[in-house]
Amino acid sequence: MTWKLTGDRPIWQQLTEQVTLRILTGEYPPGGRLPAVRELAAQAGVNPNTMQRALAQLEQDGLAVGSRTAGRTVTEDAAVITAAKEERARAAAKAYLEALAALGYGPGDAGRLIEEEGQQNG
Amino acid sequence: MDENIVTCAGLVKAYGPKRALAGVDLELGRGKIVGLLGPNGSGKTTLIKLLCGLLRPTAGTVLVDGKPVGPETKALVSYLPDRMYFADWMKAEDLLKLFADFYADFDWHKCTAMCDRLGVGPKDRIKTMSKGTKEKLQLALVMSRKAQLYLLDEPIAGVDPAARDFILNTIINNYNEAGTVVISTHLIGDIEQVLDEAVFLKEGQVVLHDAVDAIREREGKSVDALFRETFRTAAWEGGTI
Amino acid sequence: MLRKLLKYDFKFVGKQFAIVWPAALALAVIARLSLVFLVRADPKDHIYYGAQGGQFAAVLAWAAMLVLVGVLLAMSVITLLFAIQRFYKGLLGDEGYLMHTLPVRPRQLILSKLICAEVATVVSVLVALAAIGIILWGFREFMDFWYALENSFLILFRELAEQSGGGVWLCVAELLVLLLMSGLRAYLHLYTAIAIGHLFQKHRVAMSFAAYVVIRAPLSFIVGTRRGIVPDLVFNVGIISAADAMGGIDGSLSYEIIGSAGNFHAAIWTQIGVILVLSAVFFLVTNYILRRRLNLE
Repeated sequence: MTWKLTGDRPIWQQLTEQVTLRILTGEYPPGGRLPAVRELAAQAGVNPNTMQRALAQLEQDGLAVGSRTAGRTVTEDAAVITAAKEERARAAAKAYLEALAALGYGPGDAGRLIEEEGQQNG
Repeated sequence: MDENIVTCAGLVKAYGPKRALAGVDLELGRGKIVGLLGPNGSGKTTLIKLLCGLLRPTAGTVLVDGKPVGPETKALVSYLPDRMYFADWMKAEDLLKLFADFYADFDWHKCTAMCDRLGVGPKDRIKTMSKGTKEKLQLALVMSRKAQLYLLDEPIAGVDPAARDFILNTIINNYNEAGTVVISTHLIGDIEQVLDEAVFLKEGQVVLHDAVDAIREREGKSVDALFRETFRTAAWEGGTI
Repeated sequence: MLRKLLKYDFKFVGKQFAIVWPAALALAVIARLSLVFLVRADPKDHIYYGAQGGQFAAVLAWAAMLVLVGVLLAMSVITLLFAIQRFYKGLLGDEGYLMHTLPVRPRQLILSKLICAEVATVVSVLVALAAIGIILWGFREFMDFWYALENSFLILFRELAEQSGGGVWLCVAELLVLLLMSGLRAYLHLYTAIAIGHLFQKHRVAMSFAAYVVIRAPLSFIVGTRRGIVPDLVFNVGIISAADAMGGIDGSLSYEIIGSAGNFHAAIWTQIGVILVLSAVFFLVTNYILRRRLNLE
């Protein structure tokens, strides 16, 4: 998984999102140690201070615990991760609906399309 | 220890009738990576040279760590010039010894490790190295210091993307986190991600100094895009860049 | 810090002269050997009288002399250029970016360059003397001159010591101090001119040259009115040696010349004093420019 950063929003927000995604997909498993700030910053090619801010946000979100000096780990609290997953999935669904609405499709069409896609891929 | 690592007030540098810096007021805090951004001729190099003592101001003050520029501040500053400043006949080892001799904050092991990665042996002569290797060696020396202020003048000008990544990674991985890094460039897109703060220089004056994320949040666009707008307008107005 | 700077700058001296000095001596040895073996000159006789190899040998003998002159000329030019380059390029060129960002004071930078230039000069002079000796030692032309020189020096310094007290060696030592100081003064004069040239935006080299000439005018007035003791001595020794070589020493002549010098110690220390003051002025001006007016572009 590579880091993708766009120009229109603060970098730290994008970093928070991407680290969160890595936790939700299990790349950083629950209870596992997160790489050091400097290492993550180097991977992403960003400023360590910015990465620090992104990780601080993860702590606020409850997805990471620990401190900068002692190192951070991913939370072991499955409920927090599930909730975050749910939130992320809802956001994806919302974006999907918005995209369809722009094309003139309603929520009913949305369900139909998802079902059809699921059958094709399944 | 002064709160700010860099303080400039009313700083003017004139070359004859031409003013390269026309009254710069600037304060830089510690522990930051700062982009000194502006087109060619906007005064970036002049400002950096004033900070490291290669130029003397025409008027105004320039302080590093709260002190006027002199041997005490030079011990705190690690400077990467926009040119090679080593004698050709020297060996890599000679340079390391020179840095170790003069700079108490020079980390010998760090530097030899970096040289290893560059494929530069201690007995290699500067003369036999390619331009790119020389530049990387110079960067390795500069970043092997635990300095309070790093002044990097156009470190990524004219290099290929692979070298650019190497250079930026070297900077991020090695700078002293309590120190401040100033990177001057006109290629903002390439370094925007590593910056905490951006300083826009235009015709010898600071026209913007803010945190990169604050700029993005406020303007809804990248610093690079803002930069292009700021300086394109200048051209349309018929101003000289 | 000065010691560290010297360590660095002496590396340059070594680099620059690692070839020049041994090459000068090697050329001298080759010239000597060709005189002895090819020209078959008798080392105890006149080079030309002793030459037995015909016309070819005569050409070779001249070639050896040319080598000697060439080596001496080349060494003086290289040494002078070295002194100028190390200051100009080392402090005001690209290398200046390194030197002026070291945590040292400008005066230490100047001193380091100055000491290196002076030491290189002294060694070059010694090597030049050695080269002369290697080629010519033993041949009658040279030995005649050498004994005359030795003799007249002895006479001169004995007279000086007798008149002024303090012994022959003290006088010799004072003279050497004066010579060394003159060298420092000359280099500081050059540095000042280069530093003044640096104050200009354009035509820095031409401006340096102009500054050198302009400084020189009052300088030759100050030093000139006192009639430098060194030129005097060289002149005197020259006359005496010549007189000696031409047969017999004209004691009255040498005595007269020496008598005009007055008290030797007073004269020489006055001169050293003048040089010290001049050197100090040059040093302060150069230091001021590097400290307050540095403009590396």
